[in-house]
Amino acid sequence: MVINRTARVARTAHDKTHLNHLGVPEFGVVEIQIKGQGGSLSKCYRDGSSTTSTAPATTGDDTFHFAPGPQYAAATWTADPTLKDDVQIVYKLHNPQFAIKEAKIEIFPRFSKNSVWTRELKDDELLHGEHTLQFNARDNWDGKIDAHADYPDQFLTVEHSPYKLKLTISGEGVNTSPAAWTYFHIIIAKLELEYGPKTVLPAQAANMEGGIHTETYDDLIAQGAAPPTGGTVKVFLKSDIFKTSSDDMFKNQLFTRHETLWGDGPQIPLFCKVWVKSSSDTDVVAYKALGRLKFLWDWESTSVASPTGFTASAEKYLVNKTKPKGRNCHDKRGGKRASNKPVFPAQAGPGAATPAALPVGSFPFEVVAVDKPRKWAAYSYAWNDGVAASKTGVIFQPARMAGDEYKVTVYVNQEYDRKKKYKLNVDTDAPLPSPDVLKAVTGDYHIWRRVNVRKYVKKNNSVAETINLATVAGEYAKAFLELKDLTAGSITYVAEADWNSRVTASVNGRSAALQRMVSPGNQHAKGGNGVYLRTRAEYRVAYLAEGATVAVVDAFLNDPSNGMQDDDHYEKKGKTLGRGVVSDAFSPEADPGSGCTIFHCDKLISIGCDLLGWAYDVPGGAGNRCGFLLCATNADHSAGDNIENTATHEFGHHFFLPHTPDAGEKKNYKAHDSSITTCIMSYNVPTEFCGFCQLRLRGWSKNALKPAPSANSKT
Amino acid sequence: MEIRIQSPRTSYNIGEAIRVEVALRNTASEPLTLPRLTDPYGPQPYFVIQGPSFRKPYRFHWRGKAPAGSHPPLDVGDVAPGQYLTETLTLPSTLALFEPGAHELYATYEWSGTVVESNRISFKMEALGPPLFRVVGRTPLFSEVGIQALSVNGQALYLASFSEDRPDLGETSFDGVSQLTSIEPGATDFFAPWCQTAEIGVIGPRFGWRTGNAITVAGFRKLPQRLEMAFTPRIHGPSLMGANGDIDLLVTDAAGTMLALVRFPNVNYDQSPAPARLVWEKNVQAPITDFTSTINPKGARFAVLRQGNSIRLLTWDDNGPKLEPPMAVGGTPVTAVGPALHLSVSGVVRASILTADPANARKVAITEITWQGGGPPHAKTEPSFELQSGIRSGTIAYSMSAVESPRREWFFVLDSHRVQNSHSEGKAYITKRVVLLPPQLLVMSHVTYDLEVHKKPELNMIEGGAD
Repeated sequence: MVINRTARVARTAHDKTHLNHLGVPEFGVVEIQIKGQGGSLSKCYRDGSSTTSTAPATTGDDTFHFAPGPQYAAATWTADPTLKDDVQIVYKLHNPQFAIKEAKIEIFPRFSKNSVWTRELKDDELLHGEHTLQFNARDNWDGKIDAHADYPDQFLTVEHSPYKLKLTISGEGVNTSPAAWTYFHIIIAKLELEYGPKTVLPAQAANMEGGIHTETYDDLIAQGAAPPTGGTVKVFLKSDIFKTSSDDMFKNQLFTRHETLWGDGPQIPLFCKVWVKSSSDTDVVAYKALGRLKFLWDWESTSVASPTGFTASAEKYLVNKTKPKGRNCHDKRGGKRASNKPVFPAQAGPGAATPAALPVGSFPFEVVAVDKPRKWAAYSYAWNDGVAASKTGVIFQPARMAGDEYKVTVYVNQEYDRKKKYKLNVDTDAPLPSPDVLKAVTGDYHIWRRVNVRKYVKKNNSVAETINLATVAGEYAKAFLELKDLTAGSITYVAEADWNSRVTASVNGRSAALQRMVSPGNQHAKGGNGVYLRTRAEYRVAYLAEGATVAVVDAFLNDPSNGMQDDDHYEKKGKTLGRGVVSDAFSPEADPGSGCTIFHCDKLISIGCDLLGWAYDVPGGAGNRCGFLLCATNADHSAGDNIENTATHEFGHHFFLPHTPDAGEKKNYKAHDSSITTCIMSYNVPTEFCGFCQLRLRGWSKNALKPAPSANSKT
Repeated sequence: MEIRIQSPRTSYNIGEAIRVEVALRNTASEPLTLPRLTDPYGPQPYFVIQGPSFRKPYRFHWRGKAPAGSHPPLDVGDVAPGQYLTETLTLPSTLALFEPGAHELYATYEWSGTVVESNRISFKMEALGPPLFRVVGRTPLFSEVGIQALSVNGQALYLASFSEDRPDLGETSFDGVSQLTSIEPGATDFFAPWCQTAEIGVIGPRFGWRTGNAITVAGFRKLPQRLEMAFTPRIHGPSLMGANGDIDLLVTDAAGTMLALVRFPNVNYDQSPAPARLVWEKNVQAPITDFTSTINPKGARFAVLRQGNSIRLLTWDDNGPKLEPPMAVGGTPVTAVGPALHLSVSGVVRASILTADPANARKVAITEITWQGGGPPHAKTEPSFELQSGIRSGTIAYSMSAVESPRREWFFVLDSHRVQNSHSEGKAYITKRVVLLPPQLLVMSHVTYDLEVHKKPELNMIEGGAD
């Protein structure tokens, strides 16, 4: 090393011996550290060859962290100037001979050789001894740096943490310790999930019933103000969708109309509050310290295997082959497992500037799909200001398939390697390797369809039996369809005057020959049967009483074109007449709201009739209203069968389910489990919906299912 | 107690009601209190049947399904010692007696824990002849009238009846066949009426046939009316039955150049009918190759004639016909498929015809012509579609009801013996059922059915969609 120094010699008297020492000046960095609140201190490092007369401090911690920038008060989620986590940058120089000519302090983010902040030390800052770096003549530093593209608010952020704070010096003489450095972190303290307000949900397409997503939202809130951290919550998809024609049962209409109504699934605004760890280890809302930190949203299929063979087999379809694996409805059956349709759809976010308030009708946070390999996940970004500062979120949009179950996890996606490859972007099964504080996990979201039962109407109080709706609902619950009883146990009885006037009007609109079938008198007061009819023998008597001759009456009755040639045909005609008249008498009672109305009389007609009930088309119903008319008592059912089974069966028709082939389905639609004969849509003594029916009720595409149970599985 | 049965006939056509006379005698010394045998809530009697339709003995309540529960019988009375309860019971229409051959039947009656058995009787089920059906057209305002079709079997006319049990589900049942009247040897060209009303009553549908130059109309206990024409008439489409029971029939001569209206006045049961008569006849220049006619609930009547490549609307009264100007339709007429016609209550007339691409006979298109309010006709040709093979026989049909926005369906039997219909999504398919020629389509308010035969006649849904 060559150094140039100008020296002056001191002289004394001539007889004295002069002794002057010319020495080489030494200087060096002793230490640099960051002091936080509550005595926290970062650890200083120098290289092994560095020496100074004063040894560096050995105190300090490699995990030193602080929360740059301003903070929000957690209680109000608004800025509180009194809250801050300022730190001090302290350093000590060995420079007794003023040899240090240049010194700078720099901050390097992770894996970077380029500093993001540099401070040249000047004048007194170079003097021998201990210093506290000044910021605007203050000892405290709030983490602010100069303008930099990667730091939108000029504050250091979690995104590029950890950081290296390095003091480098140079001068004339021997630099025994040219540099010292310390490390510090800006770290996430915790994530906390919450539901965003429903006002941020995107405006729904015109073909979606208004408010269905917000109704789902309200149901969720009713189960808990915040997303569950364990257990299960139900996501109810209101789906008052009913057949409007018989053919609807044979065209996969259940699937397509459910699809039309719910599209890619319900929309649930999941927000995440992000907390930063302060230097004193408290959790603070340092909303400028997140920058463009990515939050990775991941989902798991957590539905468990169904007990019945058919559904269990279908759910097993590629159960371990898909990413993520699981039993949720597969893409090929209309679901989102292995689908390109995202569970966390992309959102544009707020743009360059965060608005003062949350937008209405558009989602506030930017969300983008994760690239390969974990392409089913999504990244979101947090706001750095405003009402949603230090929050991020996604619209969680599970598939519309009832029975599907989802667990959602949001991770702080902060760790990446030198090639900027994120550690969490892998296609391995969840959970991803991440400390608990860097993720938030929900309980299970279990998708259910919901159909409302709005009203229960009986002809009169002679109708003694009452359908146990809970039993009916129990059958549908097996298909994760909630038959929601909105009647609150209330039964409406048709007023006598209304019933009689409607029956009279209906009967009078028919031919004299048909009018003659109806028993005279007060139809309402006669009892609980729908319409009281004359027997064929009574009909003959009545006809004769009108003055017709025996020959004409008997010819009329035996004429097959009149369809009364024997009791059997006469009763069939009575059944058809009864359906029309009872429909007319009940129809005005139908609830105007979407959902089902139950009508109930003891028997359809007073003469023999084996009709137990029918899927009654409500006048004016536009596919969102339906009726079910029960016209039988438990005693009219075979052993083991009952009125609840009939209700379940007829509702099933409204819900697009056809009969089984042995019950008259001639279209060969192949929409039932071929391995059983006791599906509730048969006329056999039923057990429950067959697996095929259950999957269709859950929203699965009929076109992708086969009647043989084993044909629906694939490994 | 003793029970005996007998049947008034020893053979039945498949689908015919089988009546059994039952006599139950009180052999005890005390009176017995028993329900009337035909009481709908009576728990007895039962029958046991065995034969080709039931290889193993099959036991059934006489109504098909025993009354469930504890509903008491409606009509109960005392039967004195030595006295009888007698009734004629009709075996239930749900009894699947669809295999020809001899069947054995006996009855059982259970009383106070004792079961008595009757004597055995035997009857023979006979297969229906080659299927020939003509649907009775209605403009139904109510469905109680049921679905009926003329069925021809041997030397008798039958009425086949069906119930649309579940219009909400598109499910029907066959209610059997009942004999209407006998027919002359050599009868052919059977026709059924399209009725102005859909009401049951003493004025019921009557049916007709041609024998040589004669046309005859008859019905159940409605004596035949026979009209001898001066030429051999060709019968197209249905007859038209007005609310007063008169039946009108448009016919042409063999060449199609003579158009005539014949009328068969209403007749009451077992009464001597007024004679049938020729109302008018008119020569037309261009030969009529096909036509059909219809009537609406107001009694308005129209026909649509096909003359080569032209379509003409025809109205008439008793003084004669009024032919609207012909309207040319592009393409080659498909003669295997007759024109379809619909007349709404308000008088809007719609006709549809099928034509083929002159360069490709399998590429067909349906053209609909609409006449409304006396204005010029409006024609609209639907996009053409290609069939798998040529059409052997086919039917285009509109909603049976005289609604203002009718549905239109079609059903073709192809030369390949496959069938294709308006809802088979462009595909021809094989059916094991016997499809009638021409197909008999019923476009009901909710569902469209094709009348087919599979051991027995049945209505099979091809499509739904409310009017």
